Amino acid sequence: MKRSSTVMLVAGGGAMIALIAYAENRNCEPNTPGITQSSCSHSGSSGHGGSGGSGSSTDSTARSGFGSFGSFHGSGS
Amino acid sequence: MQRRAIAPRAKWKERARETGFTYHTPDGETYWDESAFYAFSLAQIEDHIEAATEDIGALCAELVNRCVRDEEYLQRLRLPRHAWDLIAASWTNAHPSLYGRFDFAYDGANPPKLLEFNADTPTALFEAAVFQWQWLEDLRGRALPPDADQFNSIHEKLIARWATVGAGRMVHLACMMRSTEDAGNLAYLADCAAQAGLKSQCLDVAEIGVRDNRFVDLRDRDIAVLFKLYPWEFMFAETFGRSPAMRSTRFVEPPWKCILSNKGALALLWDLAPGHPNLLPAFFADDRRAASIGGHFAEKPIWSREGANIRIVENDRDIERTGGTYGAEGFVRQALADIPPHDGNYPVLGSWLIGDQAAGLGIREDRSRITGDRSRFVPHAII
Repeated sequence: MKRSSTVMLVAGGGAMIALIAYAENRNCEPNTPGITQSSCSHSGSSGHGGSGGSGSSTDSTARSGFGSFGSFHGSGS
Repeated sequence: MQRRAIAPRAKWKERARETGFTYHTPDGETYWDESAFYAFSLAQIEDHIEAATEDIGALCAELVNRCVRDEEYLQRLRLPRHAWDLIAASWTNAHPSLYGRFDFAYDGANPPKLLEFNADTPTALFEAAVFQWQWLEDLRGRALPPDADQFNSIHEKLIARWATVGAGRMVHLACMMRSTEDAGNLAYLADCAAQAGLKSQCLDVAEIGVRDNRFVDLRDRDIAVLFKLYPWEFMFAETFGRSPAMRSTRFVEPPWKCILSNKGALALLWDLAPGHPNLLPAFFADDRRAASIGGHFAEKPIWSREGANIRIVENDRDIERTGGTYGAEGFVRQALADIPPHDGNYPVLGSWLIGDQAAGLGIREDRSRITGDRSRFVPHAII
């Protein structure tokens, strides 16, 4: 046998669904794995490269120093 | 190795939804395709694919060891000078790799031939590790023999490897979240990290911050370990790629992997082991030895992804060419693998290396000889 055990996902795939929902509606920071969208505030969209979210980031934190190329799959910005 | 037609499971889309596999039909085009599968013998898997994966993995380690000690190699690969120390330090300090995927051409009889090594940002992971396995479990004893098997211990090996790579620390995972496929792969890796006992946090690559010369997340917490599904050549070219913070975070994949994800590594591997049974002759396109390959070859940009900017030449004539934005840094020329198509489809065998162990197989096929981001994923079984 090349395989020893059955694949188990922590949240039965729920974490993946939640992260993808987050990716499509980037209003909050996910708490993967086992993320639930109810943990998100859904207030104040961060926008691309922004520093929004539910954290406590300060003005002295620089952001957007990575990501300008978009996804290597071509579906990013 | 045979391509066999098989009836798709009646409720496969429901199964996909249950497990979070959301990118199976992007923009209405088939990506996950279970209307066929590839059947292998155990000997083909063990003697050819598994063996080639670990042999080439060891050869790659030898190549990196050579490159970090000779800046001429780094220059040849067009890696930026400001990254050289970081690359070398990550190797000499043994920063561990989590995973990579070798793409092989294979005809079922002769040794597999390496087409490229997706060493830095390999994807097609969740479908290989999880959904393909579910396909086998659903069909075993029905459309497949009861003892049908699969070359697939990707899931278990990822969990075990995360324990080594994470070493008990919190792991941040970042990608371009706008890509559903990238986000899906990232979520799966976060799941595996959790099963390895690690705390994890996902974020968009653009949300990474720098504060007091350290990378931080959206809550300004230090990023000690960063899994990034984002190419090294992009990072090196961006503002934060020159930040002192680059030296305080442990990256997964580590910086030394940029040597192997560079298509120039194909030429360097051939230099290192000319005639190796799992390698195709390859040279930098501006190397006069490239002409020795003859009139059948593929030309690939040294930095490219998803089949972009590839040219296929047969009998000295262009027969296929893809567009894209890569190529400014130069090209490698690689002899064509003479693999016959299966029912008009050209399969590429993606063989996963987790740490230094061969771990499983995912096959993508296309009507074109060039595998791109829309090539279909087709499951396999050992019969």
